[in-house]
Amino acid sequence: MTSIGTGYDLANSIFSPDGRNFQVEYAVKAVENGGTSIGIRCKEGVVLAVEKIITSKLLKPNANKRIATVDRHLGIVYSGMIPDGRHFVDRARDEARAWRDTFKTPIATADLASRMGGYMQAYTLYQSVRPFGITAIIGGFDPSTDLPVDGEVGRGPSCGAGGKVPGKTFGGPGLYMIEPSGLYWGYYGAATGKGRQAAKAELEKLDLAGPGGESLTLEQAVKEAARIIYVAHDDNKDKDFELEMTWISGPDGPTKGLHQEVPRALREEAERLAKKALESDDEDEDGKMEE
Amino acid sequence: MEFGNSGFLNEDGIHLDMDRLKKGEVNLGTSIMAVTFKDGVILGADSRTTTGAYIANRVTDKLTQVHDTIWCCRSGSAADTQAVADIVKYQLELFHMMNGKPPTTQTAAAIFQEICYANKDMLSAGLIIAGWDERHGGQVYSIPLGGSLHKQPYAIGGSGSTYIYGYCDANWREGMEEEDAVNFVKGALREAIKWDGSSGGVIRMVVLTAKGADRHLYLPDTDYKVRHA
Amino acid sequence: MFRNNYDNDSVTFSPQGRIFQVEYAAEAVKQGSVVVGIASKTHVALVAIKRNAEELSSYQKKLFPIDEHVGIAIAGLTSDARVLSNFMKQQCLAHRLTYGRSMPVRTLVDMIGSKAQINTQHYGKRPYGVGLLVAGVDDHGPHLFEFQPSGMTEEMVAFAIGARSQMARTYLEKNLDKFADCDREELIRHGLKALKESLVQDRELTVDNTSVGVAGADKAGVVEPFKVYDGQEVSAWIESVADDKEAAPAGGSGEGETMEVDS
Repeated sequence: MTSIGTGYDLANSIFSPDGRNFQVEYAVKAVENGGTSIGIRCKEGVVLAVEKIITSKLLKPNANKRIATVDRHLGIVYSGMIPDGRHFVDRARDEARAWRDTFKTPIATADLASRMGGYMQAYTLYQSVRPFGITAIIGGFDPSTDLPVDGEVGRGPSCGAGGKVPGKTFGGPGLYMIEPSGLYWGYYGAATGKGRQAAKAELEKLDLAGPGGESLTLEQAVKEAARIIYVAHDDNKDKDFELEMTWISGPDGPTKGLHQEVPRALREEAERLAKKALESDDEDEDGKMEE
Repeated sequence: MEFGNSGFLNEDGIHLDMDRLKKGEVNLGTSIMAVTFKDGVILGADSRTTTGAYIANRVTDKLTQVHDTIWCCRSGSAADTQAVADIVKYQLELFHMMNGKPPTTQTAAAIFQEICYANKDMLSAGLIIAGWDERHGGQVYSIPLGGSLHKQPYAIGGSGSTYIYGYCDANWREGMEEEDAVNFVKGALREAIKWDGSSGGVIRMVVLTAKGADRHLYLPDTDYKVRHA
Repeated sequence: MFRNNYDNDSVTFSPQGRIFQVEYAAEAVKQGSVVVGIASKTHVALVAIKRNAEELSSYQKKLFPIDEHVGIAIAGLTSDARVLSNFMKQQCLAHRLTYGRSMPVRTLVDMIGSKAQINTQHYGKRPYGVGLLVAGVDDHGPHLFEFQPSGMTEEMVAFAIGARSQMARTYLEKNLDKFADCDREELIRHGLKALKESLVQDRELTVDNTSVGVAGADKAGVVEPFKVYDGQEVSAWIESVADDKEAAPAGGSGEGETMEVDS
């Protein structure tokens, strides 16, 4: 670490002579020690998954949820310092609420990502605060139909309004990842935390940006997400873990546009397949060794 | 009897100033409306502005643009509605810049409502918001005195509207052609102007479609028949 | 004066991404005497060792009722615990006023979690130097939560924090499977046995140094309010876990009946 001892890394918001903010880079280190989080975006919706490392046998199984619902159609998962993540989620809920209050309509995933990116960035600007020790993945499904109006009186006109542009589509699935610096991008598949390298490699194989993303169903995405978390965990098998998964489909899909936990039956099926896939992978590798 | 301008009951405990206008305040004693049609939405209004019995302006423009294809019809206090429209206009421009996409009519209506409801004790503003956007086509929202928000296929407002409920109910049709919709608005406003003493002057319209905003003007001199530039 | 340059405040990350001030605050928890909590399907119990500064002084309280349905056990700086406890009491009261019913335990715990997190991200603040075990019952039955100075909160089946608490945790881990079906008395005895594991050589559980707190919800959903037992009230429990009684069959001790007279 060239940064150590120079003094430029002792306070937030300080630039080093070569233009780096070391405290932000150290915050990223906190993320890299956390359990792996991933998000997959496909045509039908978004899946979020997280590897929850079991730090103690005394933890109540399946009781400590890590993926948060921020609005009806929005979910956030994060890796790194969990209390920081909770704070981040609280803020995201406030933003979603404020948007609804002002514009009487749900916030778009892209708009929430923008707001939260700004919030994260603000914590890199001052010596009086430290950056967030998390990287967050935001998933959502924006309504593809007419935007609903919150608190509308009555049901509104039964007839459709005239002059819509034909053939244009709106809304759809959204996936964004925000880093401690406040930097964020939209993703087809996103991964962060300890196992991100392995997870990214697996995500890339899905070819989500190309035909892979077109053909992948939401249920398949759930199974891939489970498998990827298992693969990402395999590299550091020191501790046991719990898999938590949520999904968001469009209004015609299984969650009817809401962010929800993946049903237990499907999650367990996905985990069974994930374990099976891992075993057969191991066998393959063993086979190669013998050649 | 002086009714005061507080909006509260007068000292006789019976009368109150319904319009809550100050003595001498400029009033848009008005006929306004907006209708959806096949390709978008049309806003229409008379042009009379009064202070008491005196006509302060006979060619007022009560159709105010708050964004490219989002407009509003103003009734009530001229000062209040101008101020509210100015604030919303600013907010929508800010929205467009911050979010990189134009606001929807519904967003505009929501901001109008927020202001009208939060300040309901101080404002006398009856507004109709109408606009066109790619996603929703033409839309009409009405915000009457209390600050509630109503999404409607068409809306009428102002003092003159009381005379044309029957006319509109009998003649409005869903998905009209532009020409029919213009004639419907014109016919309705002509009746309103005829019967309402506080309405009069010219008829102004704005047609909002995918092609943008198109302004119409009809004068009483030609019996509102000819469209002027 | 400092161990390194990165441990002066809670707004500086170390090059490894650690915040030493928060880790040091966690050490303060280990300075406090041990407290144990266990939850079953029907009850949740807290037990604690109280310390006295000297032979003739009184003992420092370890268990605090928060609301009818919630109580806490503390390890670390008592004055910090008092701040959190007051905050929790206020929140519970406000929730009752607004919603006309008791606050869900998780909601309450999340609130102190958020509150504590702020102290780890702003200059001029310090993390709370106390760890809590929060025991409570709500519509979903009994709950036990651990709270750390970092703001981390987690729901546990059983847990122990404070000095030498690792021994108690080992006991709890060994007996983990038994807790769910324990009745009220068995649960308390497990708690006391775990507590004994953490005692310093030659120290014993006495009526003076032992506190017990219980809350419960039976199958009909009726709640047994959280109550703290001290002094002679705990003597029967202490006796029932005395070393020479270890082999004796459980149950039959009469303390439960007399204590529930006024509940």
